[in-house]
Amino acid sequence: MVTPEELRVLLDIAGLTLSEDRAPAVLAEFNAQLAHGRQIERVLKGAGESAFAPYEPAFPKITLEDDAK
Amino acid sequence: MTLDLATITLREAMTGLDNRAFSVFELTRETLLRIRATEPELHAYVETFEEDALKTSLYHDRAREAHKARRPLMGLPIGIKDIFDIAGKKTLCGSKIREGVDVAAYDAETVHRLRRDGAIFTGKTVTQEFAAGVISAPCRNPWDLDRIPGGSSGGSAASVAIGTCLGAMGSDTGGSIRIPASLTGTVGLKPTYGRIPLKGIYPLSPALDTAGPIARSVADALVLYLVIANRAAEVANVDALLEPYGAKVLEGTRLGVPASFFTDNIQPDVDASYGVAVEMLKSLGAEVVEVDWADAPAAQSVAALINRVESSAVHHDHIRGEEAGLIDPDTRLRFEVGALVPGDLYLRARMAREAVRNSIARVYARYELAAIVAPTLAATAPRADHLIVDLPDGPEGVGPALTRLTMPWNATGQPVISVLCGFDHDELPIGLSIIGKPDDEFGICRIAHQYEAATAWFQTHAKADAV
Repeated sequence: MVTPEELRVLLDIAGLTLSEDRAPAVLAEFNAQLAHGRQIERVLKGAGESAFAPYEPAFPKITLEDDAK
Repeated sequence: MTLDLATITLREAMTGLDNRAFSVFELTRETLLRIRATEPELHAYVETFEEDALKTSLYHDRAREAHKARRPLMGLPIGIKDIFDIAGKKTLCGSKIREGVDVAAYDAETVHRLRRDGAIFTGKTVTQEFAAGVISAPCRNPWDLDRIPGGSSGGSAASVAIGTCLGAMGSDTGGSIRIPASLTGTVGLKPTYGRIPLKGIYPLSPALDTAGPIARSVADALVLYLVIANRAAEVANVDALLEPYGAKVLEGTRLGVPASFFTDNIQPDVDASYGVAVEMLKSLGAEVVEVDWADAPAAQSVAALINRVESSAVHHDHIRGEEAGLIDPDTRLRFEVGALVPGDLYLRARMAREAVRNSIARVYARYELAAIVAPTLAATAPRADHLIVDLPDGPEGVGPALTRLTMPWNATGQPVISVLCGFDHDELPIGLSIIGKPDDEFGICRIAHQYEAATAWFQTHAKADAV
């Protein structure tokens, strides 16, 4: 959990300015993201081989011949 | 064949044009009149292209008469989400920040392919600001104008549902095609990540962004998918690809039903419709096996972290300049928080993405699955004036409640199709998702098409009060 003081430091580093009234909502959402971070740690320990081929985005090129069809 | 835009599908309209039951001009004019009739209450469009559409319709009628080579969408009215560039039109992305932008110089690649294959663009459809959210104000849901259509492709789904276009383009980073499809009773197809070009589409999170169609039937969605995938030559084979209907047509098809996560904390009516849908799939001959994907919560977290950080980077200047005040407060908060997430956590989320892809691949291999079937969403459409979703475990904010079941499939990048599978006690649509292996869009469309034909849910149509 990040405290309001720590949040202020992080905001400074990120170059963001927040009004006081918006700080609690940002803090709550930021802590929610850190909770997501804890959630992913478990799967990183169990990573194995995939049965899916890697994604290799390769789009068919549009050619003049295609356009003429 | 009569031209009834309340019910007609894209493929039926194509047949009507081929049989000269009506002309392209008549189809276009009726569509534009329907937009005029419904827009005051529905607000599905940001901008309509009446003059362009009518002129193009005359061109297509002449081309048809001259027996020029037929194109798959020749003369069919299509809506375009307002994050896709259309040459000569502004791409406003639902944001005040973009009100002063120049018109786009070029079509987005997907728009180019639709135009090349004969689509007539009805207009730009409403999106949640920068495609980051699920409300899509000011658009409303045609099944109940007091409710949201979902988002971010809410205008596209609402216009398809009410018949002010016969298909529309959406984008899906955390569920933005499937969420509005489910809430409006339409068909939403999120293709495999990386297969549809994103050039000319305003990004949200490039590692997750996907473009795809929203349509009135599975066959319509497949046609639109083939066009944007640059595979229009295969449109003529759609009937054969989907196979004829039959009593045990899914025999030999093994489907996984999740034992947890996707069935946890969902509204009772959603749970009941999902159960009936699974029984229907069994009656069509599918073999249904219970599967446990323990990493589903982690997949949701992976998608959430990547989405937040990348969208923050995309909007780096927007949240730091004077224009920050022009961004909706909730959207701005999302982007700001993404800027605070440590870099190593983002990179670990990218690594975890591979881990959850591996783990779901093992589930498909272990159970020899053709697809997984799950509820698209935990809930039906919330009220626009009460953006809280009532769930068995208690009330939840509309964003987390509507994205919980969709985001894991953005992390894995698999293709998903959402189809109507029933209605709740308020007669609001409920969606069923069929999730395939990468690049198996045909496979999930085949299953969805057989389900759709067996249930005929898709023949139930929205009736906005204004129509």
